[in-house]
Amino acid sequence: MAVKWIGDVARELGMDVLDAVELLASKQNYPMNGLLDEDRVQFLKLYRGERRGAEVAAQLIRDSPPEPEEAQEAEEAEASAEQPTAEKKSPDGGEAEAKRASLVTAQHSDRAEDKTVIINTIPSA
Amino acid sequence: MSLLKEFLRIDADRRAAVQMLREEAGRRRSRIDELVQESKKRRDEISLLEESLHRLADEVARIEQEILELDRTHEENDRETHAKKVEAVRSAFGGDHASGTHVASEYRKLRSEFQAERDRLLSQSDTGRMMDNYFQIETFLKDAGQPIPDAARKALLKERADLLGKIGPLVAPPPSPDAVLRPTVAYAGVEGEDPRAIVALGFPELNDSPEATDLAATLIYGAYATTVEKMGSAAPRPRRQGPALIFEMDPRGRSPEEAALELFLAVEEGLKKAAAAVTVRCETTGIFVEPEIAQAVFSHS
Repeated sequence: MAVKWIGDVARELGMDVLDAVELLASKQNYPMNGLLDEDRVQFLKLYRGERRGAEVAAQLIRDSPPEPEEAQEAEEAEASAEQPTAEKKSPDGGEAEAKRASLVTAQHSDRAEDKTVIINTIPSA
Repeated sequence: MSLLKEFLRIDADRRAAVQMLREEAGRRRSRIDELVQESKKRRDEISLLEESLHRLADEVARIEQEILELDRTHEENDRETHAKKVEAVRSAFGGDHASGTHVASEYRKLRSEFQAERDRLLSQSDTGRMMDNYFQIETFLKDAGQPIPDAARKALLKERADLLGKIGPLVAPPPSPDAVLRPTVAYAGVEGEDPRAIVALGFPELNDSPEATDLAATLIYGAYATTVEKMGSAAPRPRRQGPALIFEMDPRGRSPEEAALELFLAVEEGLKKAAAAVTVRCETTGIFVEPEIAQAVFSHS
């Protein structure tokens, strides 16, 4: 099993060495001689990928903020989704209900896109 | 006749009265003399007392002057002691930095040469075969279930020694410097508006691009890892100030000294563990530094 020194691994992953040390130490998994086995290297790679994914997702959210009306409607839809089924029925019939349902679905699909973005940004080892 | 008698009586009375007055005047005169003597004596005593008072006043003034001098000397001594302590801490860090740099340099040289020798051996074609032979002999010699005749054991031991001479660095542990790393680890708690817990040690500097042969980096990472293990997210990152490496943190509501002691124990344990992991002998000396000295030596981050 190949071992690598933590400084070299951090350099390869573009991380600060102390970040890498902190990450491993917080899991009680830092080897005191600084030599990392493959499992630890993989752990750091995975962490780096997740962190980058989260950064990209956050950046995407910042780049495309929801329009105020849509956001309000989405909030309303979310609030109505939390209410019991009996209370959800509105006087204007199934049209508004269908609209709310589509909004909720749209929101879920957005989350899926975020996840897709995260997966796509994980670099290959 | 009766008139004569009356005159004689009056004359006798007058004489008696005059005599009595003379005697009284004499007594009064002697009393005056006594009082004069007494007053003279008292005046002498007063003058003596005044002289004593003058002497005492002079003495008091002299002692007050001496007390002022002593106060000044005391303040000077305090300042000098403070300066000497600050200098001693800085000097200890400077000395540790120099000796640590020497050990780190020796460590880098030994490990680099060792690694180069390993790489050279691994690049040779028959190294793999020799290693196989070596480990087979090792396993065979250690197998207690299989009796080995003395002659065969002797031959195997000789073969193992020959192989060890050829591929030694591949099966031997990496070398370490003979010198002992002896860092002084100082800790201090600074009270006040901005309380701080500080741990500092004189330590060699890291290379710009640390490698596995960088002893300072290995030890610092070890110390930081142990600090994270013990203190979690509150663990401070080391920063460099001159020859010293400083861990500094907010005590977060605790006494700064208590937080400093906890930080000191974590850093010291991490250093020792990391040094042991790379087989470098390390003996730390822990010292408590007074807050005033710490404030003078360690600038705020």
